Amino acid sequence: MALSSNLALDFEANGGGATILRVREQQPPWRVVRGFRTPSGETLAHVHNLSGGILDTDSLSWQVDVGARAQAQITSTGATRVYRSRSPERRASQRIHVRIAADAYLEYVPDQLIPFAGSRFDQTTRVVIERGGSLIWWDRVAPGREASDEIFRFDSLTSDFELIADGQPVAIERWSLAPLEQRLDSTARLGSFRHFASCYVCRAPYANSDSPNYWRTFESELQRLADQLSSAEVLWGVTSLRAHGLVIRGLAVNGRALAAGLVELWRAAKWSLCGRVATLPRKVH
Amino acid sequence: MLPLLQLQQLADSALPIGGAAHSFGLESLVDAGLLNTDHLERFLTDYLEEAGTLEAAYCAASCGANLSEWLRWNVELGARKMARESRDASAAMGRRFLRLAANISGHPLLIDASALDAELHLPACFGFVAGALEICPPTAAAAYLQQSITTLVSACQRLLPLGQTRAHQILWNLKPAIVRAAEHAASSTPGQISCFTPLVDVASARHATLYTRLFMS
Repeated sequence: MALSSNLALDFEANGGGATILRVREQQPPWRVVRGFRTPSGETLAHVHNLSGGILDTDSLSWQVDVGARAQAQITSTGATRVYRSRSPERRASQRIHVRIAADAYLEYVPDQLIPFAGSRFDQTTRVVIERGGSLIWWDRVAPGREASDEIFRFDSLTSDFELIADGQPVAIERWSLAPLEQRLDSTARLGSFRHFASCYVCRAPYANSDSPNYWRTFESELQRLADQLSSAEVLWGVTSLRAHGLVIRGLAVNGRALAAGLVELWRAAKWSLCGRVATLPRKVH
Repeated sequence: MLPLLQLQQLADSALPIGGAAHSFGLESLVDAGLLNTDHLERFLTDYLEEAGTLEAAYCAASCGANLSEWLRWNVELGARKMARESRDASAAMGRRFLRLAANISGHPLLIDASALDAELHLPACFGFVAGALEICPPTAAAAYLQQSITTLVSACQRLLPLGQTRAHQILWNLKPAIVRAAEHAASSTPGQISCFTPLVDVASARHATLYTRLFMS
């Protein structure tokens, strides 16, 4: 039987310019570590999974509401481990629904997802940005427990990601990985790389507030940095979305190179997007 | 018989819609040493399972769609195409394809559609035109993929040591994969189709900064 667990977080701006975190609902295994104020003004929530990872009976969900003018940062307390499914009919799932209101800002900077051998996991994410709202959202996926020689030995991993800005879809990513049935090392997929990451940078503008070339210029600036960070071990690319944003993609042979490059690109992207310095969540200091 | 002949004409990769100007990320892959002649057939087989099936699904869904549905498929496909250069190429080729089909067929629906000021993509335009010719979705999807893969192989002939005979052998060998992709696409809705091509996406994103380029994408 699937165990449903819900987490509902509201970030609200108070009159003094600070952002208050309200935990509307918090069912086990979720535990939110209190909101810290980051040096750049966001309120940071660490989301902790008390069970240490995702079990094959888990049906997890998040609702995150970032209210008007609120500034929020969400991270995890560690890597998200997806444990082995004990039978073929058991699949773990997680649904995330996020709303970012006018003039609000959210950055979602979790640790990597590690699907263990034999695991089955479906994740669905829908992010809605209203006019004036901004977002930086990254995801990192590892091939498995590399130290245990588990490289792409999970059964199934799917992702359904939808980003809606000002009422229109600007990015839709749906992928399904089944290493036993697909050649993930194909050049059409990952090639010789094992880790992959995406980072979405998006703002739903007020009418005509961003010039048509805004994102193209932004893309060129970040791509220059991406070129500097790329090597035989890690490859970065930056490209504009169909509207209101861009996506940074990275592929790497090892996770450390990917994480380091992602942080550099995040810093540059945040500075360009909102003129604020990006500070890593305190756990990694 | 007539609609099939008309479809065959429109599925010709030499159709003047700009296909020869684009590599859809392949130029960057070759430049980085990640794609060579020996692996090309395997690469294209996997590409058909991913991006090929995705595009074929939008082609099939557009075949027989009404105008508002079709516009929605175009917007959705634009959101699913991450790499700007490839997305822009698809949009430019889609508009040219639709305009050409409208002009030569004189079909009122296609003339109306080609006058719209909207984001249009080649797979959706191909399916929409095929629908106007009363072609069934699986056939339209297969014809689209045939055109698309022929365009990619043609690009590879300019990027790699790939002669005519070998290129045609590869195209011949890919027919079963084209049929599988088209059948899967036509029996699903676009929302059910997954696509995982991160290396091609990154290559396409990096194309703009290549030192020398043969192609626009």
